[in-house]
Amino acid sequence: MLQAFATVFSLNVLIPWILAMALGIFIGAMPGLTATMGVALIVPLTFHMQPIAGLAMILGLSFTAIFAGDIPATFLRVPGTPASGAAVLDGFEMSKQGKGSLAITLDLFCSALGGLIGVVLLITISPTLANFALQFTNFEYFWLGLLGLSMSAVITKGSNTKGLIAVVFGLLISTIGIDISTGYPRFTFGNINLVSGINFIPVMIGLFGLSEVIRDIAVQSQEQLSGAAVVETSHTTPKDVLKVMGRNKRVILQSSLIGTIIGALPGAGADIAAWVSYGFAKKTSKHPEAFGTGSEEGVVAPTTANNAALGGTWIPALVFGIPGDTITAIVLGAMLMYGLKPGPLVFTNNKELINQIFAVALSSQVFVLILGFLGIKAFAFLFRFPRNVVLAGITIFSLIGAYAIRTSIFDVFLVVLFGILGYVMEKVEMPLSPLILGLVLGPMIEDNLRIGLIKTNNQFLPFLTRPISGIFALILVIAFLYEPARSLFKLMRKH
Amino acid sequence: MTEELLLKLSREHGLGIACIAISLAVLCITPSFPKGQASVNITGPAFFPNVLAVAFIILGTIQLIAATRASLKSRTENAQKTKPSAQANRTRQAIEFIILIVAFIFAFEPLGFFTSTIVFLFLLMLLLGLTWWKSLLYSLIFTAVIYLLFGVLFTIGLPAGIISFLGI
Repeated sequence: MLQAFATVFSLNVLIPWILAMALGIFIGAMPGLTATMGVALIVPLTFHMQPIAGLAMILGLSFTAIFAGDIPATFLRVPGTPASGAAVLDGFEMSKQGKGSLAITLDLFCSALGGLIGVVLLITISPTLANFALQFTNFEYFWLGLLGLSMSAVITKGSNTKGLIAVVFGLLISTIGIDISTGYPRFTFGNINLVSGINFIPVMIGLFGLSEVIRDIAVQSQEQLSGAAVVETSHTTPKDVLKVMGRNKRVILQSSLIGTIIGALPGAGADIAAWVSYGFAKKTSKHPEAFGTGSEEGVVAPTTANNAALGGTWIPALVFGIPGDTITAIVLGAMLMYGLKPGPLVFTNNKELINQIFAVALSSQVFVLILGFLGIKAFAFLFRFPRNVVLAGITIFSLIGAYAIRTSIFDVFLVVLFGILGYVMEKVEMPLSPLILGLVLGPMIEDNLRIGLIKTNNQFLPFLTRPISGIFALILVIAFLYEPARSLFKLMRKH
Repeated sequence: MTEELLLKLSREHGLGIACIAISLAVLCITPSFPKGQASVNITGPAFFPNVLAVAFIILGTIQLIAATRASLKSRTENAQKTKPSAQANRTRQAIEFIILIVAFIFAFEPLGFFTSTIVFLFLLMLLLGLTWWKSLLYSLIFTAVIYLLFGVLFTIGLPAGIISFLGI
């Protein structure tokens, strides 16, 4: 292992690795540019390098990009990457209270620690975990999707009916486009742009980013708009952050585990890990009412889990050659181009390389801290501008960022449409996050339900009788009945 | 009584009505979808949207009932307050902002990235209360930064439009 560290710290690996991580900060902080896109952009460059340098660039970039997505999420309510959707909820609230510096530094430390725990788990338990994940079929994925959806009830503030309306609306939007089982185009109305469905990145940029700009313009006066973008009232030291982390040890550990396990499931990545972890943290918190109002736990849970998930996604990729998410799908392609064959044999045939990958993954967490800190400083420069200039900047970056996803003007329309919808939804006090959750999990739930039913000849019973499937169903029932049962128990004790 | 309720049709009612209207639209469209495996609808493309539409009707109805209850409760209160003119101005500004974005989207490909972005940002910053020279300066800086990041660094094809003869 020491030899592996010596190799990865040689200049021909270290320089491209650090440069890619710095690029990851910019990509992550820019709405519309995702970690996946960043990895896809640098892969062609890596073909001219030795495999470990290329893999270090990919691994490092994904870690910094996932963290950096939380920077605009915290300060501007614009998630930089899909994995930062849940980080908006409490990070932005803390920022509004003048505690943005604490929120983002806490986020940075949690991202590095979550990433580190994810990598340690990758190194230690990867074969066992990957084996467990391989037993998952459509039945288990269906229940897993529903479990994720049940989190919408947890993350909803205020009216449950409105939260459910948002989640069902998100699920309905997810049905637009080609039906995966039959190839039939649903609700496309002959529009070619709708055939591939509604991309959730412009939806997120619109719902969280543009709607906030509209709200600012509609609510604040000209004088307020020309004031400083963010008023910082506190200065945060690492000691303050470590204190907060000490108070939230349980949430950090729990979120790292959830993140890694979800990351290890093929098809579920850092975004789902962050939502589920946020919901779980709220469910198990002593102060669930504080979530959504600038709670420390609400910042810790999703930001720890999304970086921990990255370690998790490499487990099935390395052990079985099955991608855990889109980034590792690109990685697998790149590894084949390098002449490596991912799968169980990679651990014996390329033991040296595997150790080097582990060394890169571990060391990247230190670089995340350093580069992340510099990234925050660079971003803080923006706040010296008046708020109306920042609002114009957010608007144009959101629009061009949406265009950049697939050079489609239709995606820019989606940003505006969902920006207006987000503004209206907030006017009627309807939560935005469940809509995103419905949109993200919709295809997972529908496809696995229908393929499962086709397999069983329209019988639902096998969804309950398989062991893991049955356990998931039971957890779901408990999750739904827990609150009413607790209220009933309290009521009975009172009487 | 009915007239009174109709007058009180609020945003809350609107939400319930919107849910039911969307569900009915979905239920009108899905019969045209093909059937599933062995003509069983449960595995067909209409199954999931239909389930969601029914759920939406139920949720819309619950929302309508809750809104009606709430409006009956506040029947005696005179909730309608006259809006201050400053608020009306700001709402108008938000509407102008959206119109400006829509105009930008329509102009983006025909006029090209540079022309449309500079004009859009200039007008947007004027709308947000900046002086004309600051608006011009920031719009030029933002356009240059976006071009360098998206167009040069990430090699994303931005439309040249009317200045395509310059070879950008």
